[in-house]
Amino acid sequence: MKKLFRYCLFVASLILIWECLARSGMYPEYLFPSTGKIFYTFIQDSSEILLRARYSLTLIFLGLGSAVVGAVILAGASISSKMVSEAVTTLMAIMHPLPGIALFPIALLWFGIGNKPIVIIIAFSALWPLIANIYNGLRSVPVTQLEAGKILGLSGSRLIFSVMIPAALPNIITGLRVGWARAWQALVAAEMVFGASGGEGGLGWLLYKRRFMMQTPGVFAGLLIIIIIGIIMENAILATVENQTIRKWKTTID
Amino acid sequence: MDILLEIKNLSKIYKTPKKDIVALNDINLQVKEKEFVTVIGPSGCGKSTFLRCIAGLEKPSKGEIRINGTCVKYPGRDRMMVFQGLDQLFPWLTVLDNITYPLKLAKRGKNKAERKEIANYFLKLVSLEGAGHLYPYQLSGGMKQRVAIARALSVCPKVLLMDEPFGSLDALTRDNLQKHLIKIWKETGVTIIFVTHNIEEAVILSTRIAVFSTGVIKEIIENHLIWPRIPENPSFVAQWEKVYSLLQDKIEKKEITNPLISERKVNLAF
Ligand SMILES: Nc1ncnc2c1ncn2[C@@H]1O[C@H](COP(=O)(O)OP(=O)(O)OP(=O)(O)O)[C@@H](O)[C@H]1O
Ligand SMILES: [Mg+2]
Repeated sequence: MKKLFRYCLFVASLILIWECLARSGMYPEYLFPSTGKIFYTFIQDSSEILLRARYSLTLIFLGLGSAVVGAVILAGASISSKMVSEAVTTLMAIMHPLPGIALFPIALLWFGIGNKPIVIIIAFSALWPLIANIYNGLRSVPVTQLEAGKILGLSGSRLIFSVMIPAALPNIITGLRVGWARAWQALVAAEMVFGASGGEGGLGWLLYKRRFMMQTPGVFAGLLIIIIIGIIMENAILATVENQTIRKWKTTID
Repeated sequence: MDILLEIKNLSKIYKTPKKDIVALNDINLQVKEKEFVTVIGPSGCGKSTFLRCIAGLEKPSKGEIRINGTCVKYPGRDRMMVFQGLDQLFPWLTVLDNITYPLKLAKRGKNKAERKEIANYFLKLVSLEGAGHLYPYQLSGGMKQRVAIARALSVCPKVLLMDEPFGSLDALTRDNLQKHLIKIWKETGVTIIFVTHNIEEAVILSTRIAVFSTGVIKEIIENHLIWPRIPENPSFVAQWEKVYSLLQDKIEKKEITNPLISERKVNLAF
C-alpha cells in the first residue's frame, strides 16, 4: 500500500513538472500541449486509441508468442547439443545487434504487404534476447538439481521442462521483459516508418497519422496508451507472475 | 542373503586436457541386501566417483555394475542418491510435492490423494510430518537433508546412495540425523552405501566399512558392533582405531598432513 502511494506520488509529480513546463510559455503550445489537453484528446479519441491498441496488441502477442516458442525450442536444443549451441551462438552474434526494423524492407519484399511482415519483424526482434536469456538460465541450473532430476528418471525434454525451465525462470522472466520491449519497439517503428499496410494499423500508425496532421496532443495521447499498456504489463502481469513463482520460491533475491 | 549389488573391475578415468586422472582403479565389491556399507577415505580418493558410477551419473571406463544380475548403465529409480549439497530439493515445489512428484514419475499410488498419503508416510519417517506445505527455502539444512532422504526412499529404491549427506551440517544435527538414518534403515530394510570422511560416522552407521585409498579399496572391515553404538565403548574405540590406522598408513607414506589428524584430537576430546 505504501509502495502504491509512493508510486502515485511519483507519477503525480511528473505530471506536475510537465504542466509547469507547458504553462511556462517556454515552448509553443502546438508542440508542448498541457496535460489537460492531452487527457482531453485521450478521452475524446479513446475509441480509436483503444481500437489501435487492440490491433497492436494482437500483433505483439502473435509475434512475441512465436518468438517464445522458437526461443524455448532453440535454447533447449542448444543445451542438449554442442553443435546446435555453437550454431545458435554464432547466429546470435550476427543477428542480435541487427535492429529488427532494418530487416523490414526485406520482410515487405518477401512476405508482401499486410500484417505478416510486421509480425515477423516483431518475432525476430524479440527472439534473440529471449534465446540469450533462456539459454543462460538453462545453463546456470544448479548441477545438484539437474542430477536429482536425472536420478529420479528424467531425461531429454522432460528434464528440460520439469527441472531446467522452472529453475531458469528468473532468467526467462528477464527475457520476456526484454522481448516485450523489443516487440513494441519493432511494431511502432515499422508502422511509423512505413505507414500501415492497407487501411488498418496499430498505435504506430496512429502516431504517424497524428503527427502528419500536426495534432500534437493526439501524438501524446498515443504515447500515453503505450505507456499505460507497459505499466499494466509490468505491474499487473509480470509482477503477478513473479509473485506467484520466483518470489514465492525465493529463487530470486529481491 | 542374496547379493544385490555387484561391482566388478570398476575403473574410472577422467580425461582432462593435461593428463588422465585415474579416479577408480579396478574396484570390486559385492553388497548384500539390507547391508549398510560406509565408504571412507581421504579427500580425492574417488569416493564420490564410486557412488556416481553406481548411480549412473558417470560412465565407467572399465568394468560393470550389476543390480540383481542386470548391468546398469543409466540412472534409474532402483538407485536413489542423496547429495551433500543443500540445494538438491526442487525449490519450486513444496516439501510434499517434492515427494509426490517422484511418486508420480515412478507410477506409485493410483491418484493424487494416494500419493499424498504415501508422501506423508515418508515425511513421518523422517519426523517431518506437518512440514509438507513449506517450501524448501523455509527449511533448515538438517530438515532439507531429511526431506531429500524421504524423497529418495519414497520411490522404494533397491539401493540408497548417500554422498556425505550430513557433511554440511553441525555436529548436533549430524548426530540426530545419524540416529534417524539408523532407525529408517532398520524400519525399511533398504540397502545403503554411505560416503563419509568422518570415522565415527562410518563406525556408528554401518555393517561394513570400505576403506578407500586413491582409487582402490584398501580394506573392507566387518562392523557388527551391537546397537545402540556408543563412541565411548571399548569395542567402538577399537573399531575406530582400526579404521584410523588404515587411513593413517596412507598419510604417513605420502607425508602430508591431513585434516583427519586434527579431527582425531577433536574426537578424543569428547
Ligand atoms: N569431472 C571430473 N573431471 C576430472 N577429474 C575429476 C572429476 N571428478 C573428479 N575428478 C578427480 O577424480 C578424483 C576423485 O574425485 P572424487 O570426487 O571421487 O573424490 P572424493 O573421494 O569424493 O573426495 P572428497 O572426499 O573430497 O569428496 C580426484 O582426483 C578428482 O580430481
Ligand atoms: Mg566427494
